[in-house]
Amino acid sequence: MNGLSAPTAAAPAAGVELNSWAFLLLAAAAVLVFRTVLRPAARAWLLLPFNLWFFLQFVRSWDAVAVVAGLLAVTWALARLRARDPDRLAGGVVLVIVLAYWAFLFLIKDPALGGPVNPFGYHPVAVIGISYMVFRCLAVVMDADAFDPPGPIDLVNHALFFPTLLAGPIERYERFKEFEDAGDLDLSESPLPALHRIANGLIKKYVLADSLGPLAATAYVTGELPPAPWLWLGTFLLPVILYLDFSGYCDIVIGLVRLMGFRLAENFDRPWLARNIQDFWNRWHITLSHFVRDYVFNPINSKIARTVPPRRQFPLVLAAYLLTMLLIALWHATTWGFLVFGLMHGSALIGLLLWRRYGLPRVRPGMRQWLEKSPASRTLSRAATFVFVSVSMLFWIGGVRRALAMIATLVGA
Amino acid sequence: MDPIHQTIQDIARRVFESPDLVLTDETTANDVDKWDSLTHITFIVEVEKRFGLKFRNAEIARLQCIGDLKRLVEKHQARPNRASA
Repeated sequence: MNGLSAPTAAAPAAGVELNSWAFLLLAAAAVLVFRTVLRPAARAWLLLPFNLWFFLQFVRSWDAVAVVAGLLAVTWALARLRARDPDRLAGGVVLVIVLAYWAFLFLIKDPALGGPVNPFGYHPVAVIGISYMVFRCLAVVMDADAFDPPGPIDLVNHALFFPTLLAGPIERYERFKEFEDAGDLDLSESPLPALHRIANGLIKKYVLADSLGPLAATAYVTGELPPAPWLWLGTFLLPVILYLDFSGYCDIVIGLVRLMGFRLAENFDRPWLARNIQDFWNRWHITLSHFVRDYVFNPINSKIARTVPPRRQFPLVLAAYLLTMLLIALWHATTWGFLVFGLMHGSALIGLLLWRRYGLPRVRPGMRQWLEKSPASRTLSRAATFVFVSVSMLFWIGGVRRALAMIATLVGA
Repeated sequence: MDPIHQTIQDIARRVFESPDLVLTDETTANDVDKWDSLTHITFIVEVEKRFGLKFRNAEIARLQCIGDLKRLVEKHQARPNRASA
């Protein structure tokens, strides 16, 4: 893989690639087993060795196994406690639990973070797919006050589900349970659309993204900056490469799981059609943005709506939006580049909400109609969103200093 | 029209500033102009207040359409606090 692969996408330095014979054989065996065995208990037990084998291909030390076992044990115990007495583990206790999961994620991913208080600073542990695993576990604990929590085998299968282990999509437990229980298995469905999707994914990820990536990698990451026109081209190519890489990966795993008889959540919905930054995050890495919406933004917003007088709510809601965007950015990596990326997207979102609340109502009806409905306005807003996202991704890839140098070259400063 | 539907529609008309809004069980956020992540929670909290209920975060996160919301209200009125898996 090259330096341009999306940090969120499957880019294992070791282990099993999705275009390898090992993965093909694993996938073929899984399709065979889960299209023929329909008894829920048997399916859960049969899924376990698939998941464990795939996970162990990425384990380079037993520390990683111990960390994952600990995470799953704590998750299982907390979910049981919360299910038994939802009102006891509520409010402030839940907030502490949520913060602990986020802190664990940030500390394990970045051993340099937190200085002496970070145990992983003394003993770094690399766990494949940990960002996704932590989110699945957090959702299980959060949902346990309303939905039955998983048993131990179900939890291991859910957290380590091999098609989604590396980079999602992030499924909710009750949806995953439908797969385990063969809930929406339709054996009469033609396998051709799923195979077509897998082929598309392989081409997008392993042919297009891997060919375009190295071509532009030096411009983003190191070396002399090219002249402005080439740099603009590279800047616009950046989201395209990230999209091809990550959505290609998603096509492969969604297609595979479809062959196994289940529909995974979609992660992309033509992001280039986004008319603003809010629209963008409803089209790009959808399961991530919806997860943060449901488990960060909505609980905060509910608290605000229930406890703060209406006239004071709006600034707090804007702060909640900013926090949401910062968490989405830092979830990828705790670097200054991602912090700036999150601030840019959070600020853009706040600007959009302020415009809708204070600017748009003052625009005369004809102009408003043009802004909201006309093809020209639609095209302009899409182009502006694409340019903004492309430039913001320079911080994502190159870091702050490099991104600022690139932007200076782009605008001829 | 059943009273739960009528009440929810009245709240929706006010929150989404659309006096002529007509909801069906299949109506989703995509069908209503001002229904976004910002107004969504205001709407849900207004429904909670009107019916004297408090939904759990996990339940709110799974609402897809007005029919889901009506079923959630009915379920809480019948058996508060616990959702079915």
